[in-house]
Amino acid sequence: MNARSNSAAPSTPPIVRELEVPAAPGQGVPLVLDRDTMTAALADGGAVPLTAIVTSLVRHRDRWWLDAVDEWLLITDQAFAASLDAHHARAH
Amino acid sequence: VADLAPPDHLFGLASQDFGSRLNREIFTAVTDLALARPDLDLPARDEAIAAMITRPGASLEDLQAWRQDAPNRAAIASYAQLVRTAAIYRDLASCGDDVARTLAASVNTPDADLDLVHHNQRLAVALTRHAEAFRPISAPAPGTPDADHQINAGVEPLAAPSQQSMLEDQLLADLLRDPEQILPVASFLSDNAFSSPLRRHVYRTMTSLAYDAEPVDEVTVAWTVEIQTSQARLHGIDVNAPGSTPDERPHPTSETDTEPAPIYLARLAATTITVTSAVHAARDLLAAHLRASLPAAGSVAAAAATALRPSHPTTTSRQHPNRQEPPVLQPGPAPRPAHVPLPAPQPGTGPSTAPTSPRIRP
Repeated sequence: MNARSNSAAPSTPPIVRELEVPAAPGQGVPLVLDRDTMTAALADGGAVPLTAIVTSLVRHRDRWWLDAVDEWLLITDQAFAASLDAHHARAH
Repeated sequence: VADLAPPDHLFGLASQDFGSRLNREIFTAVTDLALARPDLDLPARDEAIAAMITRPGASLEDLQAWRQDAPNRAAIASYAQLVRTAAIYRDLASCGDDVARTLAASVNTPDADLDLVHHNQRLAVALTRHAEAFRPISAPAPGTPDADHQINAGVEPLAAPSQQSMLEDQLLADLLRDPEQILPVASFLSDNAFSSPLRRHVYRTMTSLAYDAEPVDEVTVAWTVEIQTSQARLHGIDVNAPGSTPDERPHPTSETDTEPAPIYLARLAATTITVTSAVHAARDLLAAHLRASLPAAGSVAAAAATALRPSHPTTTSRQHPNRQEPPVLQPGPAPRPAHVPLPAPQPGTGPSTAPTSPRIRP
């Protein structure tokens, strides 16, 4: 896990980094996952799409992730994550 | 509104899943009355609903029309899933706005976590992309009171459709009317026989839904097409481009799609069927496709198609309820016989549309 930095933002997109998301203290999760990692997780059941239709939102490592084409981004908005939890519960 | 005793699970629906205010109110009224007044019969419940909702669109006549227009009550679980999907994408669009606002507020915070700020910037961009790509799904559907525009599907067919496109419409309309024909037809007809991207996509979707034993009607097909198109749009993929399916050769497409999928599906649902069966239409379409795509072997295709033609001419009305088994054509190396022209296309195979309203309601 990396320490958070207040230095200037990198000029290039960051690679996958282990960061603690403030809303879930103690649960180190990356902010970004590469496509291959999520594809493998979806294949082995470690990640589950929100519904059979909505496959661009995925539950993985107890968090919600958004398909950003080349990578998967952690949903950091807690209200939206709660909304997805509710949709997920009602869909199953 | 057709069900006096909706199941307790309500198909996983909640009133906020409905994008239309009117639909939200009707759903709430129906579910509340099912609990509070289970003794009501349908007419009495209609009166109670009409009394509870002052908004236009919930009169006794409207409720009766809703019941009659329901495309397929057996597919209600699938419809509910589609409604929930639209709600998810509305939430997603709203979240994109929230993240952008939060981001704007956090950028100037002295102790801001710059990694998180940077991540949220990317998240906001991705959410916006999703919201844009899926806007056709999450926005109020055409024809609903909350929509920006109304549709007139079922009244105006496309201008000057070609003979082939009329045959394709007839085939798809008959498959929509009788989905049991889909798998037999799919056993010998590839989607690359269709001349327009939208028709190819609709046919692929019907086939996929049928293989998965999902309900096939104008609602489920239109939504599935829209969702797939949105997902492809998000990834910069043109799912309808020639060659986009594994077995598809580049097809000389002269038409471009001029209708959104829901409108095209509503038009198909209102099309008067004039072909004997989808299998017959599919066979004629396959013959036409082979003639067009295999010019060197055109005579082979023509001979094969002629050989498969029934001894009696194809009728122009549904007079033969018994369907024939689908032919299996194997266009491959074969001796080239003398040219045997195909009979001219049968008259009356073009689509005609009844002046009815589309049956799609979100």
